[in-house]
Amino acid sequence: MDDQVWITLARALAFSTPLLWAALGEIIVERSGVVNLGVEGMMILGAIAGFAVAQTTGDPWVGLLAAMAAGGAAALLHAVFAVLLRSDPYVSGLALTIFGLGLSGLIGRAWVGRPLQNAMEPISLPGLASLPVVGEIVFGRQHILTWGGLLAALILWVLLHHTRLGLIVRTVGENPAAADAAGLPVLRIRILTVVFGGVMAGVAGGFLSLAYRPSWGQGMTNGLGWIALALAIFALWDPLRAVFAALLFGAFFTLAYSLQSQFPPQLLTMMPYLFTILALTFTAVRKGRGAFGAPEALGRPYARGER
Amino acid sequence: MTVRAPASTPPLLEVQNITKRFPGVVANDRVNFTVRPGEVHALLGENGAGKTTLMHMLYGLQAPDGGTMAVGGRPARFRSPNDARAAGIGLVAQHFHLAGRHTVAENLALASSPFWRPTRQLQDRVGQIEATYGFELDLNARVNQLSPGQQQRIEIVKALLQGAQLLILDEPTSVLTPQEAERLFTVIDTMRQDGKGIIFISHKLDEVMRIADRITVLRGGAVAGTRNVQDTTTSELARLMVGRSIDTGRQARTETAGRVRLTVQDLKANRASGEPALRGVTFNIHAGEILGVAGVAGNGQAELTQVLTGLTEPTGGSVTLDGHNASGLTVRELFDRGVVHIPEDRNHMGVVGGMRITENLVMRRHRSRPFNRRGRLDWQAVDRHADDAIRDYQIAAPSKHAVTRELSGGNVQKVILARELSGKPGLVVASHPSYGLDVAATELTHDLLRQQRDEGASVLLVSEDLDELLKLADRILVLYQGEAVGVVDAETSDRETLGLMMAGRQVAQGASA
Amino acid sequence: MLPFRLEKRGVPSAGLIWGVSLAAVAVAMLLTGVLFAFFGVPPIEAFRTIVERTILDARGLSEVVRRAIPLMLAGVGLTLAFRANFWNIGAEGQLLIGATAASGIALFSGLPAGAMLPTMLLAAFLAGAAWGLLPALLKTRLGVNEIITTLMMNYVAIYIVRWLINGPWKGPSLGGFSYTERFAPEAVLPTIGTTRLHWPTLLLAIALALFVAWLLARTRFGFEARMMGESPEAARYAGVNFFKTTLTLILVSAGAAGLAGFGEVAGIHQRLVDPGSLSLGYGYTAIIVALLARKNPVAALVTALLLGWVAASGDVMKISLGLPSQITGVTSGLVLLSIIGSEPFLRYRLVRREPARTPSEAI
Repeated sequence: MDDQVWITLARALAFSTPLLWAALGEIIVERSGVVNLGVEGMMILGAIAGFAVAQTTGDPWVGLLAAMAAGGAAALLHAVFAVLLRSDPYVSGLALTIFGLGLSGLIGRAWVGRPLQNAMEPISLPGLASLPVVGEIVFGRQHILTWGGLLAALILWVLLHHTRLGLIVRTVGENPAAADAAGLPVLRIRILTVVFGGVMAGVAGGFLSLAYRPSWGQGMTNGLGWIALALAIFALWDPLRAVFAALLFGAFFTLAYSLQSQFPPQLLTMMPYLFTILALTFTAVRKGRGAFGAPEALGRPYARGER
Repeated sequence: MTVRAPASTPPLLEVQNITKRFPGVVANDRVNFTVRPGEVHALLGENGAGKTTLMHMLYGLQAPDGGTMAVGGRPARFRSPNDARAAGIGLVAQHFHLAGRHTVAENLALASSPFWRPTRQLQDRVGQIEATYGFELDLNARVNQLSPGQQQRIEIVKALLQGAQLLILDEPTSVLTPQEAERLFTVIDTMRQDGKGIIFISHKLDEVMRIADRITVLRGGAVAGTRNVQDTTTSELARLMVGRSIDTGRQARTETAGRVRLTVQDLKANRASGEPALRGVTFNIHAGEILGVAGVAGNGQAELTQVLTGLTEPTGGSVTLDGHNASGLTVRELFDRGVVHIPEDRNHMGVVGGMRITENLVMRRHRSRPFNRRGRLDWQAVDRHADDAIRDYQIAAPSKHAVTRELSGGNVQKVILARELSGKPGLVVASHPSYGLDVAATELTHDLLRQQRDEGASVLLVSEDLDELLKLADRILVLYQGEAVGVVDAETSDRETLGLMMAGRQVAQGASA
Repeated sequence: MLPFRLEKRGVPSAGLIWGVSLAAVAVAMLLTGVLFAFFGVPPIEAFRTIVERTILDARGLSEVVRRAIPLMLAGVGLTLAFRANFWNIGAEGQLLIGATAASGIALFSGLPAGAMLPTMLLAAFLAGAAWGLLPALLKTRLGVNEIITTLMMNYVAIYIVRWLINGPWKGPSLGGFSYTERFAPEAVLPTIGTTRLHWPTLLLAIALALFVAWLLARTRFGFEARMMGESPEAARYAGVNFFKTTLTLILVSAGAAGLAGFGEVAGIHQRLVDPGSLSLGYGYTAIIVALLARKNPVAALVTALLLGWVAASGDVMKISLGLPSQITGVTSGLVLLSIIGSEPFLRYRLVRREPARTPSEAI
C-alpha cells in the first residue's frame, strides 16, 4: 500500500519532467512580458532534432544539445516576429506550432517507429537511493533530466527573485518603459528570454524522444506543450510553484492511468486535457480573490513612445 | 555648497539651433536655450508646441536632425538615454517610469546595483538624499500603494542616485494637489541651492512664475521668447504662448438654474480591482447648471462618471434622474433617458479608431430611427447624418468615409461632441473634455458646454484644470478619497480654497445647494 | 545606416492588402520550392506537375474544392470568433463533435429519408456550438484563457471519437476495424458525378459566407460586433451587450465548424472514422484561412480554396512525385509565418532617407 504511493510519486516525477522544463522556460518568457504559444512546436522540433542527432552520432547527450539548439532556433523566429516586428504574438506563436509540427513530421518520416539505439539511462542517486522503502523506488531509477528540472527550477527562482538579472527581467515584463528609461535594452532582453524559453522547450522535447520514450513518433508531444503553457499560468509564473504544479499534474495523470482496468483507455487518455481546463478555471477563480496576476505588460509588444 | 555658481562658469547645458522634423511637421525649429548651475529654467508652451520633442532630444530618446548641444561646455551627442545619464542629465517624466507591483527599492535598484540581492546597499545611499532634501521613502512599500507625490519623489531620488546635475521635470505638478506641489517646489529650491540645474516643463503660467528663474516660451516648435522671471508678467507669457491675448475670464450663466435634474444620494462604487472608490457621495445638479468636479486624479472622479453613465454598477446609494430612480441602469437605458458622455479616453472609448467617421457619428444612436429599421441599418440615413455633423461642427476630415484614426485630436473630440450633443441631452457628463486640445478646440468645447447649459441641460464637468473649472462651472464639487469634501460656489471660490479641499480639508464656505 | 527608413502608413487600401497577402503566399511557395529541391525534385517541375494534376485536371480540381469545403465552413466561422477577440483554436474539436453528432443521427435515429440530412445538419451545428460553449463561458465569465481551453477540448474530442469507434459505436460486422457501420443511403450527401465533391455542403459554405458578410455590413448586430472587435472599450461605451454578442459570435463560429464535420461524414466517409482520417487538421488550417482572409468572411472562401489546394497537392506529391506528403504541413506553417512577416508592410512604408542627416535613430 505504502509502496503504491511511492511508485505513483516516482512515475509522477518522470511524467512531470517535460512539463516542468517547458513550463519553466515559458515562465521566464512571460515574466519578461512576451507570450509564446509555440511551446508545442519548439518542443516537437527539439524531440526530432534530438532523436535524429542521437541516432546519427550514437550519443544521446549530443542529441540533447541538438534539441536545445533546435528549440532555441525556433524561438528566435518568434522573437523576430513578436518582439522585433511587433506582429501579433498569438499568431506568431501559433504559426510556430503549426510549422514545427509540420517540419518535424517531414524530418522524422524516415525514423517513425524505430527505437533509439543509445537512449539516456536512468540513474540511481547515490546516498538517497539507499534510504529504506523510499530510496530505491523514488531515487533509484530516475533520469538525470528529472533531477535537473528540479535544480533548474531552484536556480531560476533564485535568479528571478534575488539577482539583478531577475530584477531586470521582471521589470521588463511589468513596465518595459521603466526598464527602457533606466537604459536597459528592452528588446534585446526579451529576445534573449524568448530564446531561453525555446532552449528549455527543446530540453523538454529531447527528454521525450531520448529518455522517456526513446523513439520518434509523429506528433509525439501530443499537446504537452500546451499543457505546459497552462502550467505556467497555474503556477502563477513562479518557478518553485511550477515544481509543485507539475508534480500535481504528474500525479494526477499517473493515477488516472492506474485505473486502466476499470475504464476504456481512450477516456483515461482524455483526463489530462480535462484536468488542464479545470486547473485553469481554478486559477481564474483564485485570481478573482486577489492572487498574483499575470505580469502587467504580458503580451504587449513594446515600442518606445507608444503607450 | 550653497553658493551660486558665478556667471563665468560654463552653462550646464547649451542648446543651439536644434531642429527636429517629423513627416509633415517641424517639431523643433532652431531652438536655442541654456541652463546654468543653480538655475530653474522653465519651458513653457501649449500642447503641441514642441516641449516633448525637445525633452526627448535632451534625454537621448530622439536624435536631432540639426543643431548642437553642449554639456558643461563640451559638445554632446546622445545616442540613448544612457549617454544623457552619463552626462549628468536626469528625467522625471510625466507618466512615471515605475513598475507598480515592485517595491520602491526594486525600482531604485534598476539603474545600477550589485548582481546578488540588488537592493541590499540602497538604504545608505538613499539615506543621504533623504537627509539633504528632507523627505522619507519607505523602501519596502509597493509603488502602486503610494500617492502620486510619493511616486514622483522615487523618480527624483532615482535621478539623483545616478548623479544627475541637470534634472528635467516634465509637467511635474499635473498629478499633485497644490499643497503637494508646494512641497515639490521646496525640493526644487534645495536643488537650486545645491548648484543643480532644473528644466521645468509646464503649460501653467502661475507655477512657472512661482518657481522659475528664466522662462523660454515655445510656440509652434520655435522659441517665441526667453525672459527673466523678474522682467515679465503672466499676461506677457500668455501672449507669447498663444500668439495673441486670451480671454481668461469667466462667463456666468445668464439665467438662474431650473429644477433639480439629477440627485445623487450616498453613492458608493468600487474600482475594477474591487477596492472602494466612492464612499458615499451626495450632490445634485439642476437643469441649466454646470457642476464642476475637482480633485486630484484617482480620488473617485473616474468612478463617478462611470456610474452616472452606466459603465460601472454602484455598490450602494441612489441616483435619481428627472424624478425617476436611475441607479444600476445600463449604458443604453441611461443614454435613452438623455444621459450623454464625453469620455476621458477619447481615442479608445469615445471613438472606434478603425471605423469610418460616418459610423462613429452614429455609434450610440444606431439603435433608434432613422438609422435602425428593424435590425437593419439605413446607411443612407447614416451618411446624411454625417454630412450634417461635419458641416455643423466643422470637422476637418479628408472624407466622411475616412477612418477616424486619421483625424487629429481636436477633430476626434468634435466627432464625439457632434454625436453626443446632437440629440437635446438632459445630462452631459464630460470628463477632461479639453485635455490635450489646442486653444481653438478648447474654446469650441467650452462654448458648446456653455451652450448646452444655456439651453437647459445639466452638465457634470470633471477636470483637473482648476482654471477651467473656475471659468466654466457654476458650482464645484470637490472629491477626496471617494468622499465629497464639499460643494462651493465657483463665483466666490478660488484656487487656494479648492486646493485645500482637494487635500481633504473641510473649508468653511457658504455653499449653495 | 540604411539609406531607407520606415514610416507609418495610414489605413492600408484593399488593393494593398490583397497585394501583400499574395506576395506572402508567393514567398511561402518559394520556400516550399526550396524544400522540393532539397528532396531532389526540381521545384519548377514539381509545381508544374502539381498544377497539372490539381487545377488543370477536372478530377484534381474537384479534390481541391472538396478539401476547401470544410476549410470554408470552419474558416468563415473563425472570422466571427476572431472578430469577437476570441481565439478559437478549437475548430478541430468542434468539427469532430459535429461529425459525431451527425453520425449518431445517421446511425441510430431511424428518421425517414426526407428528414435525415436536415436533422444531421442541425445536430452537427448544435453539437459544434455546444463544444464551444464551455470555453466561451469560461472566457466571458471568468477570463480563462480560451486558447488553451479550446485546444484541450480538441484532444477531448479526439479521444471521445476514438472511444466511440472502438467501443459503443463500433460496427459489429467489421471485425478488427475501428469505425462505425456505413450510413444508410438517405444519410449520404449527393456528389457531382464520380467525384467526392459533395456540392450541397459547398453551397452551404458559400451561403454562410454571404450571410455573415451581410450580417456584419448591414445589420445592427453586425455593426455592434464589428465595434466590439475593433475596440472593446468603445463597444462598452456604446452600450453593446458584451456577453450576448460575444457568445453569439462564438457559438455561430463553433457551430460552423460542426457543419464542416457533417460534410465530412455525410459527404466523404459515410461513417464515423478515426479523427486522423476524418479531419487532416482542417480545424487548424481553418485558422490560417481566417487570418489570411483578414477576418473577412467572403475572402475566406478564396483563402480556403488556396489552402484546399495545398492540401490536395499533398496527394499529388505522394503519388506522382514521390515526395513526402508532410510537406503540406510545412507549407501551411510557412503561409502563416509569411502572413505575419508581411504585416509590417501594411503598417509601414519604406521611404528613401534624405541625405545629410544626423545618424542614429536609436533602436
